[in-house]
Amino acid sequence: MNDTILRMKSHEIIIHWLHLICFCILLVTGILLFLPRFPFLKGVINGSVLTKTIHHIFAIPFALFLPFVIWMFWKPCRWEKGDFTWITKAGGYLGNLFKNAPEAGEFNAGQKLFFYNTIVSGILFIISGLIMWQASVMPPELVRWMYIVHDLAMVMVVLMFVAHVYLSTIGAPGSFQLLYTGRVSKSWARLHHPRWYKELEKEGRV
Amino acid sequence: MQDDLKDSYGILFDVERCVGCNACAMACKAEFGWPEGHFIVRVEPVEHGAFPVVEKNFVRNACMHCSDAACMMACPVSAISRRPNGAVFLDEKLCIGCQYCVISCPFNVPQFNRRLGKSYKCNLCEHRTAEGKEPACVATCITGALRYGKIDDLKAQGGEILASTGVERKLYGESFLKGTHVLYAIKDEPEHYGLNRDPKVPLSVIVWKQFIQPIGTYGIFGAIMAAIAHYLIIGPKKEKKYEVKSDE
Ligand code: HEM
Ligand code: SF4
Ligand code: SF4
Repeated sequence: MNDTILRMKSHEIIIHWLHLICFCILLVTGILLFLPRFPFLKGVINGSVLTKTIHHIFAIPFALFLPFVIWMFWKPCRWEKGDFTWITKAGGYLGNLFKNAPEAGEFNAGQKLFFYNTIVSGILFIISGLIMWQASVMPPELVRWMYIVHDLAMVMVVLMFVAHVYLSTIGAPGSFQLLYTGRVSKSWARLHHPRWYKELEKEGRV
Repeated sequence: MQDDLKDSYGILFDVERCVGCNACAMACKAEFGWPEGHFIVRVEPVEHGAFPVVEKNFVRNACMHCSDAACMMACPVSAISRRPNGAVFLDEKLCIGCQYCVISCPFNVPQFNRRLGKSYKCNLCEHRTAEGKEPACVATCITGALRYGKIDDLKAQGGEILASTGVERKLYGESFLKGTHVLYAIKDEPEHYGLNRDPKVPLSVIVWKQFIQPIGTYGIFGAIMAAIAHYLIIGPKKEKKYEVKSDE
């Protein structure tokens, strides 16, 4: 009767939003300190004492939500057989360049990698961030290397975050409604996650 | 970055003449009204041996005004800049108190003030030198241990001081960080005065600011461009018409 499928439960939507909002605030406030100073930006987007305070405040919920994010994606994001091939064929997203990418299950290999990236970078953020936070009682040499770790974590997760945002909005129409309805259309499921759709069919859930 | 020290100005510190009176530290504090707890110029005693066989010196510690300045490289908001006279100037108005300069300076110079949320260091008294006056510390020094002038002149004078002792030695500051604008005439090894023999811009600061930061910025920018290019060239992954018809 209904041509949509439940893909995210309401608690999952809430966790995703909370984590996303914290992440974006941390990203904006962090990147103001990270970006090289272009002369024309001098005095304009300087970052300020406030930027730093906001970064410190939102780091706390960000760290607290991380375990929930891990918990909710852990099982569906387990690495499977065809996943490596999927990556080598760029998931079929590069048009005619690579064809016949294996069908994706509930999550495709790219999403799984983004999930692992979130865990690894999240842990790096927390460890390095705490040391940077307590810089006054830490050896400066350690603090400086922690800045490098923090930046590497940021770059590695943001590269995939860009792809994630693109593919969950304009890059794959029909995806974004997930974040407020929790539902996707059947045709969306068949297109993006065929193996998942077939499993649901087998279980008689669609 | 200024490699050419020719037209630069700086300070020469003659350790032999310093009597540890702290007048320079006081003059600096009075000139700027540094908040409680802050001495931007410090004079520290260095002792060797025990009475009566004892040698005691006083060493002035403040910003060296490096030609290769780690603090300047580290500052994320360009609050620290090179002045035409060669000085490394920390602009209090632009400073956001991140303390990157504090953790990067090989001489441990910039000091962070918790109440003001900003970092401070010697700016070579720009407001005074602009009026043709010497920096406050130099103007106040009663023994002539401090001199202000063109780097070349200071090097010549410092060379004479050292030559008088018959020791073959460079001024402290000449041979590292592309030359500092504050030079010390010392007659023994740097360690003898509690000085770092070979201060460097820390490797971590170089990796952080000259590799990770630009590469990361271009990388992120590139990823955004790639997403846009994908949208325009290959196009989004859309549901095709014929797939919709089999809806139950
Ligand atoms: C638990 C999580 C986190 C903690 C504890 C944390 C902590 C910190 C601290 C203490 C600083 C130093 C800034 C200062 O004190 O003035 C910093 C800088 C920074 N943070 Fe975070 N942070 C966290 C998460 C994140 C996230 C999720 C991002 C981005 C996606 C991020 C990006 C940055 C960036 C880009 C900088 C500037 C580094 C630089 O200037 O090189 N942080 N963070
Ligand atoms: S001594 Fe420290 S604060 Fe002064 S210019 Fe050199 S790096 Fe910067
Ligand atoms: S504390 Fe101020 S001067 Fe020092 S690096 Fe940060 S913004 Fe620049």
